[in-house]
This record gives sequence, C-alpha cells and structure tokens, in this order.
Amino acid sequence: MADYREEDIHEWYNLYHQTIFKFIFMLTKDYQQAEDLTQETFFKAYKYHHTFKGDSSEKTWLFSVAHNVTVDHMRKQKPIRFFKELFQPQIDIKLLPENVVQLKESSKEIHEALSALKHSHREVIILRKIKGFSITETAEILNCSESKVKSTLHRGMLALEKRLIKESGLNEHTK
Amino acid sequence: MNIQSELDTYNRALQKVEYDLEWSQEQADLVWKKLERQIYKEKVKSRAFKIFGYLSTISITFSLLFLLVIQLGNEDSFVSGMLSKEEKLYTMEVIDGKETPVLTEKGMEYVVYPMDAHKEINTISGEPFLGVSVRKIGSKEQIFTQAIYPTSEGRFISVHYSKNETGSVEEMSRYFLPEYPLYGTKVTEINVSGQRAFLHEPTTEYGTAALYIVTKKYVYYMNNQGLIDKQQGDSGELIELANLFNFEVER
Repeated sequence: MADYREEDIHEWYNLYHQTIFKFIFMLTKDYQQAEDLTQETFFKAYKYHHTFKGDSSEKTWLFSVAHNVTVDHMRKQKPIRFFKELFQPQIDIKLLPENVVQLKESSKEIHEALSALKHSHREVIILRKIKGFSITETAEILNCSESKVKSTLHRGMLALEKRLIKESGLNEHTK
Repeated sequence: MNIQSELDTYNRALQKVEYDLEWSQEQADLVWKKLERQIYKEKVKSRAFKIFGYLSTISITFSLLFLLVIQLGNEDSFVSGMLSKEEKLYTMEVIDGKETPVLTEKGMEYVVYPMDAHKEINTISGEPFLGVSVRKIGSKEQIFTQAIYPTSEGRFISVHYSKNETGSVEEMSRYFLPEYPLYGTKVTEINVSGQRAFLHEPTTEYGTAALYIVTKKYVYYMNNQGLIDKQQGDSGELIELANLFNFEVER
C-alpha cells in the first residue's frame, strides 16, 4: 500500500509539476536540468514531508524546496555555469526541443530579457510577478526578509525595463 | 506612456509568460515514473535500515535473511489497478519502431472517456487519440490512459487520470477546493454525471480553464493543451465533455 506521504506527493505532482518545472526552468535556463531538478524537488518533498507543518500552503512549501534544490545545484555547477553563460548568456529559444518545452512567440522577448537578468532579480520577479505569490510568501520561499523582497523586486523591475528598452532599440536598429 | 501604464504593461507581459510556456505532458509523465521508482527504492532502503537496526543484536546471517524476506514482501504489497493477468486488456504492438501498449476490445470496454464526443460537441472535430501507458509497480501492473480530443480551433482537450490514493472523495476533494484563495483562479464545485467536480477558471487575462473530477477510485484531470489561441479555454465545453464520461465502467 502506498503511504500517506506518497499519496500527497502524487497529488502535489499532478497539481504543481508544470508550475514547478517552469520556475526551475526559468532559473536554470536549461530544460534537462529543470526536469532533473523537478524530480529532485518532489523527491525531497517526499523525504522531508514530516517538516511540512502546514503553516503555509503546500504550494509555497514546494516552491521553497524547489528553490533550495535549484540554488544548491547551481552552487555546485558554478564553475561550469560561468563558462556556459560566457558563451550562452541567455536561453536560446531556437534550441528548445518543441516536443519538450514550448514557448509562445508573444512571450519570447520578455522571457529572453528575464533570462539575462541577475539570478537574485530573476527569482523575485518570477515569484512575485509571474507566479503571483505575495511578499510574505516570496520571503518565505527565498528565506529572506520582506523588505529584501521589496527592494530586490524594485531593482529587478528597473533592470528588466532597461533590458527590454535596450532590446527593442536593437530590434528597431536591425529593421 | 506614463510610469503606471508602463508598469501595467510589464506586469501583464510577465503574467502571460506562465501561460505561454508549456512542459510536455508526456515528458512530465516520464519524470513521474522515474520519481516513483526513486521513492520505491527509498522506501525499501528506509525499511531495510529500520529492520536492520532492530535485528542488529541477532547474527548478521539472520539480519540479511530478514531483509530479503521484507524486500520480497514489499513487492507484493502494491495494489493492482484495472488489470488482471487473466484478462488481456492490452497487447504490445510495434508502432513507429517502438513497443507500444494498445488496448484490446476488452480493454476499450473499461475506457471512461467517450470515443464519439465529436457527434455531441460541435467544437470537437474527431475521435480522441488514446495514449496508453502501463506502469509496473513491483509485480503488479496498472494501465493508465490519456485521451486527447482535437478541436476545430486547432487546440486540444487533454484528459488523464491518476489513482485516488486516499480512497475517499471527501478527502481528495480538499485538494481541489482549498480553504485559501488560489491566485488568479476562481474555483467552483459542480456535479458531472453524479460525481463531484471542481472547475478552476482563470480570473486574469491569461490562463486556461481546468476541470477536476473526483471519484472514489480516480481523479480525472481535464484541460486545454497545445499552443492555444483561445486563452481562457472553454469551461462549458469541458463540462459538456465530462458529462459524456461513463464512470460506471471504472474499475
């Protein structure tokens, strides 16, 4: 018989696998790593299920697990990532296999701009603006203070705006 | 453009990213299978550790013997799904060079989804594509089917299900009717073909409608898939399709 932890994980996977995958994918910019880390997130959630006290929603808790798993992985990959980003600083949308990840044309520009931002800016923008978490929930997921969330979000949005203006300028120029 | 309207534009564009990006369901199912195996190994490992601690006072030979017995017993403890060995519900066929499970006539009798929904619902343009997967859990097998209905608008309606591990409609329904508000989603409880169902409709400009049906044995997930133009999906169409499900053949 499946235990209650497995039941929860199965249900949570059915409900949240898409949103967790997208979160990790936007952070790592690598769909294969995102798949592995999505699996790792739900496995960690199974293993440390007893630490979920229900103070927050299971969605918030899963996102904090996904964030920790991703940050740990990125820390370990830092030297490799440095060289990778040097040659491929943004997601090359053309390289995404269509049968695995699909991104609509209308969102490609903002997605690329987002992927070029600093990690700390990117994660706050994803959680607040894309996933719609509150400031309190975002602070809980990132394990930081609410004021840090507010200030990073402010700086991140300015950086994003700058990047989008720059990109649209480039596009105008190449037309 | 003033600062506020610029901000609104960015906020809308960011919100849209969530819905414009999609991970293939097939790939997600593969990851789930890998996760299931990982969890199974972890269970065996942790059980073995517990038993090993208990038996450490006895001789090592006895401990190893016990571990073996427990591991074998564990394999049989999984509940079986809709398949029993006596009834051939599917056969393995080579399709595009790949061994693929295909439902037999007997197997089709247990499919809850309607094959002729296109005759009843105008927007559905043909028979559904039926994807079959067989999961081996220990020594038992379980069949899962996913139906993909084509629509005249170029998008698809996807339906799949998973086991209701709680065995209780009441308990499982809590997952779909949460006490806290869901960002950007309006949740409504409805009744389809006598079953409890939960309609999740987007309240923002972007997003798609999804319908979850909870029965004692299974949970059915219905939504729009593919790069759809009709952003909001069609709640009425999902309900109409769900009402054609034959839950009586569930087993």
